[in-house]
Amino acid sequence: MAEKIYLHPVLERVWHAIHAICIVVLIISGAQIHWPGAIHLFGSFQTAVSVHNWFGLLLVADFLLWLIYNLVSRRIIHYIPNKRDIPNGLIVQAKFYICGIFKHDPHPYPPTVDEKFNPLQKMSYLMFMGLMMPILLISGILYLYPLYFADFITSIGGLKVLAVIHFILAIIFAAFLIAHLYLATTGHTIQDNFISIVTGYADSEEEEEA
Amino acid sequence: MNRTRYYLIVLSMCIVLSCSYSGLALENKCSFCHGSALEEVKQSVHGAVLGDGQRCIICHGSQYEQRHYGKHIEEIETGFEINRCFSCHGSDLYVRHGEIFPQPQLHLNSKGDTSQTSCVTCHVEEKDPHLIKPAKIYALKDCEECHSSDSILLTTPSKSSLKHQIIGTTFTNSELTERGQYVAGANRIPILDNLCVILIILTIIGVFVIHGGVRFITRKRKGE
Repeated sequence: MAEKIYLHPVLERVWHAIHAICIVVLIISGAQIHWPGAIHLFGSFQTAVSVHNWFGLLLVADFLLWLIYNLVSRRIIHYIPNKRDIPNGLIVQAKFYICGIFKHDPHPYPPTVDEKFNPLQKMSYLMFMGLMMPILLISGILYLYPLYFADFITSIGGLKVLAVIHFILAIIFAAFLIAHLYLATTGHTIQDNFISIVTGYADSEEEEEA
Repeated sequence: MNRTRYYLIVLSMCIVLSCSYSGLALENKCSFCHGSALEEVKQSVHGAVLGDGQRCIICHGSQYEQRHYGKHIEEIETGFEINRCFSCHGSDLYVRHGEIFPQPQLHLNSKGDTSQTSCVTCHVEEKDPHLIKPAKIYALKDCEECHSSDSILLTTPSKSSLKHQIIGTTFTNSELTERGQYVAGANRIPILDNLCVILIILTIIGVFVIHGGVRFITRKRKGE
């Protein structure tokens, strides 16, 4: 029986759940707003816009909660790559996904209480949460209240430029979500990481979380 | 005596001239060619409110007062000036429209900035553009009329459709798009859309089908 470690404190799990719901709802409602003729999951265009606006604001609040929590608790350290990670850790982890995983090699960087992400996770989470998410949210807020930021929006080329930035980032996040869900299946068993993000506990001998 | 006669002549000429250029005279002039349009306006929600002589120039700009008959229709601007709506409608514009769509400020600009949607886009019917009805009876409320790939804002103006001329010549969104305006659902960059869809499909195939497939094939079997 593997020893359990408490990997995800309750606040992180609540944050992750809200974040996940927001991302999924925003991707679907955003897709309906962009392709109103093809997607009708939220009914009318107006409903999709309202849902997108409210969940967008919820995501902004959720992101700020994540940022403040991680800075205050210093758990942001989990997201910061160290010397071991760049570039060796990244290469080792990538090799594992490309080759080792098929030979059932052990995960090179299994999660621990002090370091719960592998080098690739750190890099991708840092890029997505530290860079792309703020740009995505800021572009969304500018698009939601363009009259208050009219000068800035004009200076970057108008709403069209803003919309294209928002759209491209949204697609990257959608692709990330697919990869994230898939990589979550690469734990000791397919469902391990899904259980872990609900209960908070993971087997210490286990690894990946995606 | 001669001086008095001179003043009387000048005065009467002024009266004649001012009368000939008054709204009433202008309206009569308009009705010479646009009689049916004037009749529609009289039957419209504005018909009773706008008095004689007001019915054409209240919406159409000063440029329309200039002689334009004999010109090709493409040469003639509609002359509709959106800011003329706001002289009567404007005090609770955002509140009332906020009940219909979530972001009235994005659609309407009380300063008459035509980078926003024009009133006539939603309040004018295809077949009777001058017969503006009370909003409760007719107003375009389907967002997808504008927010879709076949948006009326992107429709090429058609000679057969006066509404399309109204929208097309003065408020065409292709022109606004060039200036950076963007209508969600209508404006898009097709190649970017295609690339993004391909990225999503490749991601799904890459991880779930290819990587997942190889994992499935190389999985540990019972007894191994």
